[in-house]
Amino acid sequence: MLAGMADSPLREPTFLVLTALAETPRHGYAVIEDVLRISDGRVRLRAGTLYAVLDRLRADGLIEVDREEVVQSRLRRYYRLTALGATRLADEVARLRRNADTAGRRLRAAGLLPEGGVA
Amino acid sequence: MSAAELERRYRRLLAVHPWEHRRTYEEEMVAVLLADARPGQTRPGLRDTVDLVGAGLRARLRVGARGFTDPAWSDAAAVTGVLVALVLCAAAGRSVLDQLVADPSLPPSVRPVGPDPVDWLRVAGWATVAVTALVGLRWVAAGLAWTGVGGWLVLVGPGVGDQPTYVVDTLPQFALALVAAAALTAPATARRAVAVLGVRRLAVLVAACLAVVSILTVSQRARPPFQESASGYPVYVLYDLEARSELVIWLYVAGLAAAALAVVVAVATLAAPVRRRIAVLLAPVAALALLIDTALAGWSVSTMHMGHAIALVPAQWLMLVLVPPVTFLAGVLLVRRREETLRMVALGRAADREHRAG
Repeated sequence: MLAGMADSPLREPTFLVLTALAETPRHGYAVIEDVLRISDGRVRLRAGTLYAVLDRLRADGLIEVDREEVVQSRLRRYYRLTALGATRLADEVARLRRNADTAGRRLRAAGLLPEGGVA
Repeated sequence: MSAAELERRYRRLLAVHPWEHRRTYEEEMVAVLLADARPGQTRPGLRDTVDLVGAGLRARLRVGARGFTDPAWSDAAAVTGVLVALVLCAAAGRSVLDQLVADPSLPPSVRPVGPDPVDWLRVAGWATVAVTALVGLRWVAAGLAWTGVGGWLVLVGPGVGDQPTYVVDTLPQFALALVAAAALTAPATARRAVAVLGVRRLAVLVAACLAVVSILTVSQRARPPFQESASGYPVYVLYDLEARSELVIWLYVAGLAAAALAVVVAVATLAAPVRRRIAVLLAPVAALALLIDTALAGWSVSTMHMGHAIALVPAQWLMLVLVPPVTFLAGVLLVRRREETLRMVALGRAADREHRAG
């Protein structure tokens, strides 16, 4: 199942959640805030979607629970990336970069983009 | 106060999620939802509501789909596929014999001239489905069963307008074909039906089908001849059975009951989880037959005596279409609930024993 999954591209919320956790272990609300930041305010995860993603990632072994805290009598569970999760995210980054490079090269070659228009 | 109110409302929305998900994440999700709330907010926002309900339903669907991967379902499907193919083969065999064996009680002018080639095809087709499913050629069996389903749709389906009684009469057979086709399409290891049933049960099922067809054919062949029945000899009739003595009728009934009992015993002695699921797979067809026999009985009689077909009203069609799937879903839920209860009882007993031992 994991082999099959590794071939399919990650969906954007999943990609962004993994990215948020790549920096440091975070709890649910901190993931929402970080995803909002790294997507320039474009992706605002809601609790239902976030916990569906977290549950799937945990089941697939890409993330795990780092620690639990109780803050103002509310449970905060921190999640961190596993080694498998880091590999999966790195693979995805490589795939996206390859696609983006090819697209940029072709646009430039066709003269549809000014030189240096795509980093 | 308003925060408590908001929390209560969020928890109510979270109830859409399956309980495993709630047990793991509910507290965290409530914390996130409350952290995200505006000061003084008392009701969940529209987007949060849509998101929570949507995610909850998707999670329930995933959990539901996982339930079907239980090996008991694939065992039940394998057995049901073969069982239904045998029954349909017997039903088709019965129509062939019906036309082949002259019925002495009918005047010679209305006796059938010979079996329809389609009936021969049905016998051969369903026999092949049963045999191929048993020897492990599941895809051939499933393909043939789907061809049977398609055959009904092409040959009988267009009669919806001018021969609705014929369509409705053959609907249970169509539903059986559909169940067989779906059951044989469900993933299972090769020759699973033989492994689950065992040779002895299989022999009982085949023998019971043969017995029913033979009894019905013998009873038809032994009917009082046309001339005689017209001249006033007593004739005993019970449904399709007809004889000159009551004893013979009861012998037929005893034979049919013995065959039915043999089938019921063969299925009822299977492992409970498989047995339950076979019942769930067959229940939609039983519900459909019951519906046609009860709710549509009046329509069937009046359309026969009107001289022209009375069309069913949309609500009646809707009932025919909806009752089987609803019965199936209800069965699935009942099985799940029952097994969950059994699991809890077993857990409780184990804990009790541990407690006493400790």
